[in-house]
Amino acid sequence: MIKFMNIQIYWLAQSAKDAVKETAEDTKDIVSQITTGKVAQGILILLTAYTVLRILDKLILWLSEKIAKEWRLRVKQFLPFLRMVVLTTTIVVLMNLFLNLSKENILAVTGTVAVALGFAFKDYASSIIAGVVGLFESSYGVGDRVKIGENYGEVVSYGLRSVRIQTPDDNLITIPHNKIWTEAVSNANAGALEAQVVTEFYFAHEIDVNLVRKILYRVAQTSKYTALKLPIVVIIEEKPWGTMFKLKSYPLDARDEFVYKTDLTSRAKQAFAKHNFAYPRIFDVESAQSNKQ
Amino acid sequence: MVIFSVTIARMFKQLKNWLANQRSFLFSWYTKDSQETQEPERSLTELPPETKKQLVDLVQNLPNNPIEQEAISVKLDEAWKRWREDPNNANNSVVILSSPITAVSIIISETMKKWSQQKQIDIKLLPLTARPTEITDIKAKLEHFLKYKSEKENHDEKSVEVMVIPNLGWCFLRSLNGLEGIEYLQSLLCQHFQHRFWVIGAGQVGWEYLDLVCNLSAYCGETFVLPEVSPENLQTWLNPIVEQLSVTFDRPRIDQQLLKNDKDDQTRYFESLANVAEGVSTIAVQVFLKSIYQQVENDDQNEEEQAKSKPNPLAKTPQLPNLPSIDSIDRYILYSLLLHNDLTMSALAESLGDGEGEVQGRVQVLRRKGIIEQQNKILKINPIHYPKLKQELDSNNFIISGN
Repeated sequence: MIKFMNIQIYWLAQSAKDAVKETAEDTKDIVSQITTGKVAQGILILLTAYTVLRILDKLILWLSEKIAKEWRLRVKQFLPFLRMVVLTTTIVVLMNLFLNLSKENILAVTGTVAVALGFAFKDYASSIIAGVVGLFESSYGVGDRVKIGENYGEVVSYGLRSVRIQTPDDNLITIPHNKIWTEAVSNANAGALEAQVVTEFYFAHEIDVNLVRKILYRVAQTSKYTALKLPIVVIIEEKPWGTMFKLKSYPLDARDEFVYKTDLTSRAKQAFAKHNFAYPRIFDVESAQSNKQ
Repeated sequence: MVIFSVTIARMFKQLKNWLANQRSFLFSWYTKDSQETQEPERSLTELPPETKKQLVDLVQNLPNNPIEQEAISVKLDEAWKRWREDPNNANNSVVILSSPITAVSIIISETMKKWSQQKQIDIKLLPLTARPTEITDIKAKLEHFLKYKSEKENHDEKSVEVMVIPNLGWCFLRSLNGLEGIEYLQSLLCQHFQHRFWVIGAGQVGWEYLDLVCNLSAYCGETFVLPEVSPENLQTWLNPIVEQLSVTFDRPRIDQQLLKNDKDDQTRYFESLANVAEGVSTIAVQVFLKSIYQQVENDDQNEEEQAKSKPNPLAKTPQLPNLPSIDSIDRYILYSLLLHNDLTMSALAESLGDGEGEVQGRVQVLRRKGIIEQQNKILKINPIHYPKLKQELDSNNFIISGN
């Protein structure tokens, strides 16, 4: 029985060795067919693809800013798809040029590429696959306001390998797509023009909650930025140090998120100042002791 | 199901309007011989200053379109009759909505005066001619005019009051304290509904806003939107000017002649005018003004000879001008003006939550572009830009009306 198994293992090892040898020979044949003319054509194709991509980037972004706001995100989110089409076409054309895409050649090249990718470009390949998956899952798109890991901002570009996010501090962060395998992606607007803005206010426990609620509703209802067709909600939460109010509302344009929050806060504070509302006080041990004495 | 069918009907209407607007463009592709068969364009110049002044004066002195007053009277009669028959259950108010560029207060005041004479009923017209300068005064003024008068004067329990608010836009400002007047009005609308009948005029954009923020429609009865003015009515209304200045009408494009071959130039002109103005008299009159040119009899005449010759006004095919380019900040300013119908600079700044100096600069730019008009200290939207501005704001997520 053991002898029979040894024979089988030997036969498998032998056939694997033959296959590797055959693949290596095929690859050698393919490489030998690469001529200077083909290399020149390849460079020309790459340059054309690069130019087309740059034109597409500029054109789509220009168009999205020119048309009505309601179409802005839809147009922007079409860009990754177009980029993928251009890149896939370029890759297929290049492969056809250099590798003469017959069934045998595809098998040979795929085997070689798979081995190379497996060892050297594992993360890169994972990001590219995640990027393609992300296109269909629509976890995020250009124009969305997302939080991936610790980073929050507007998605400004969706590349083959990574996504670029512009933070409120105007930093550009590049995040590889493969983060979607492991990290939670929080999307504030998911393709919509509006994204909810939560503005927090803190007061002492003895505050007149109904009056504060009324003021907060009015503040949101009278802001020029508020999308009134979407709900405005005030949430009250008791904390050991005071009462917390959360004003949840939507700006007309998600891009105005921070200006909107500032507008709400400043106008609410003006109203609160008129009523002399008490803010939470940090318990001061020293002053408490001196009062005792 | 009802909402779905209404939406379909509205979409169909919009498509129909769009096709009607684009008709000349679409047909120009098919009528290959239009260039050959079209009559050579007549030479046109600006009207001489005297004629232009005369035309502007005539337009300014033009009475309000009587068709709007008639429509209001009919609606009012119906609502009044229902309320008198069943004061406990029928609605005790009628809200008359107009486009935000229509002077709704004048139309309602004039209509109500005639109606009160006709019905022999006393009306109490809110004597506001503009929004109070101090926003905190709005509520006090409403209390003074609406509450105290009625309580003092109403000795008889069975007597009936007709309260008229010609322009609701003057009773609020989109600011923290600017809605107190509306809250007070809501409380009044719920009281004495057997003895008080309300007639309220408002702009459509302002009404939509107040409805979303204060749920005002729940407190009021029927809302009635001023009807679209027909081409025949426009023709009758503007006819005194046409006759006085002997305005002639240009021959339309060949494709329009083919489409409406049984109609004369004047009828075709007023059909286009009503269509372009979306049936709003205020827009129609501005487009009419813009379409009048001086017809030059002889191209060889020099300027002096042209000035001496008898004015020969010609009305060209009515068209809306293109909306000048506007920034996102401008959209907020223009929307605020539509929301309140008219505003002073300080009220506009308050409604935007910005500083007056900040807003003033942008307003000056918009004035130069011709989108905003200023009369004394009051800022308004130029009616001729309203149809395109409405589309622009609607497609940028602003609530205009009915969406």
